[in-house]
Amino acid sequence: MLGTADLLQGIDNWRLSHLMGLGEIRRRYARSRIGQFWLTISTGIVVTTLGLVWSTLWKMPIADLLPFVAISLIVWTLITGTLAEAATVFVSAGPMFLNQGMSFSTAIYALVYRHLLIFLHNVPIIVIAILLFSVPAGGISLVAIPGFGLLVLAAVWTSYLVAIACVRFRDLTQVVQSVLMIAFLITPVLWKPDQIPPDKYYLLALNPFAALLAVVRDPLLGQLPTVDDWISATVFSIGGFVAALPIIGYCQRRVIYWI
Amino acid sequence: MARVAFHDVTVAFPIFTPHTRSIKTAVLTRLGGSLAAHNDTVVVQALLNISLDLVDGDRLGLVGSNGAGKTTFLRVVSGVYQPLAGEAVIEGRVSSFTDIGLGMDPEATGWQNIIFRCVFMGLTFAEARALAPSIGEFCELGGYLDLPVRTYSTGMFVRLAFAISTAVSPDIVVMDEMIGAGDQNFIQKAQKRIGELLGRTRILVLASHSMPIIRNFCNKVLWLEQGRVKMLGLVDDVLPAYEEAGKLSGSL
Repeated sequence: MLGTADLLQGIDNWRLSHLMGLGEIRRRYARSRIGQFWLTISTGIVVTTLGLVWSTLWKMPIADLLPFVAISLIVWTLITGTLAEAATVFVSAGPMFLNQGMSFSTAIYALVYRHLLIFLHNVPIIVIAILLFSVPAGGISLVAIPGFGLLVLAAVWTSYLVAIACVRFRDLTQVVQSVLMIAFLITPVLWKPDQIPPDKYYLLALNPFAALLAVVRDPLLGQLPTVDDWISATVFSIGGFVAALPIIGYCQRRVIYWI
Repeated sequence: MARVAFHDVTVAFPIFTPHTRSIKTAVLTRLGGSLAAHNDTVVVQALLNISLDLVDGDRLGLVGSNGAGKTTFLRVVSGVYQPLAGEAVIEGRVSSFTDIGLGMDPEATGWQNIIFRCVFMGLTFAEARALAPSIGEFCELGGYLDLPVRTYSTGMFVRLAFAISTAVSPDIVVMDEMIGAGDQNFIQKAQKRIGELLGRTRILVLASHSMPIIRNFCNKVLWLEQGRVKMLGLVDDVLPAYEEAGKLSGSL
């Protein structure tokens, strides 16, 4: 199938994705003394401030809230950063695609890879938060690995579809920003899932972002994600992936004409 | 063996105005029959029913006025555009010389850029590293290769990009105007190198407005006019006719 072929060609081209992903980070922090560690520092500042403000406002123990906010916010940054940039990825890589024939998944992999690298820079903050507030993560935290796998899989196909849609319909670029803002507010990133009234709980079950966040975050906090979260996350990332393949296949020879 | 086979290749560009590009319009167009009348997508026909077959040893020159479809043709050969109708079969590793600085990063050093550019052209990291010393030697940039490329003059940058791009031996070379680089001393060295590369490659497709260059490097010529084949044949058959047509339109 065309979509599969395109995604496989992109994997074959991993060297380019690697260089493109790394290059963007290098350019952004070139000539800076601390360089990309500014990523870690600024995330650390945001997480600490939010933890302090939130725990004061809601009178919750900071040991309870801060690790939650730290993990949620860092994982959320990975999701939203990838999707927000997916909206413009084909246009910004346009000169490359116009001069050299290559599969569009190369740019998608580079995008996801770059945000994974940014995520890695933020991992120390998660580790510090877990250790500092002695979260009983333990062996359960390993369950976050398959959860993270689902998250990455979802990031690949969603950003590919967003990229295709936004290059064809330029207005969607703005819509994506708004949708991500709404998603941020309705997903338990800065608030806890148990704060939602039980009769409105189905709203969470319908929100794939909430499930993907939960399957990564909950194990790191020493809790097993619910079965509902697993089902929702798996259906979204694997089912969505399969559904996206024919769309990617249909669009792959057209995208270049839209750039 | 390398091969470029076009069979009735047609390429057309839809030009989306903001009107047609918005999703609302697209949805409405699908929904309402009457609205379809307002669907004002302009389609530019860039190539129309082009058929040809190039095999090892063929050196094709592309001639034609601006907008004749030369660049589009080159891009179909490089695999950038897949034809919307017809079929283009490209066998062999293509190197496109349309942007010889592709993949280079001004913030990285000359040595790093040698690796980047080589990998962009399809080499592995190990192959690129093996090739780097000879490229560094050819471009004669010496100690500058340890500095970020943004500190280079334009001429130095072109020299580096040229040295890297011509270091790899592809099966098919695609070029939009002859490339060259450097000052008085370097230019002869560069000409020799590009001449060798073009001699070595299995298939060359070169678009140019310079007839001497076409005569020098090509054995076949494709004359394009408004996306159609005006004439295709040996250099000595096509170029005189093309130059004659140029004189006629020039005297009008």
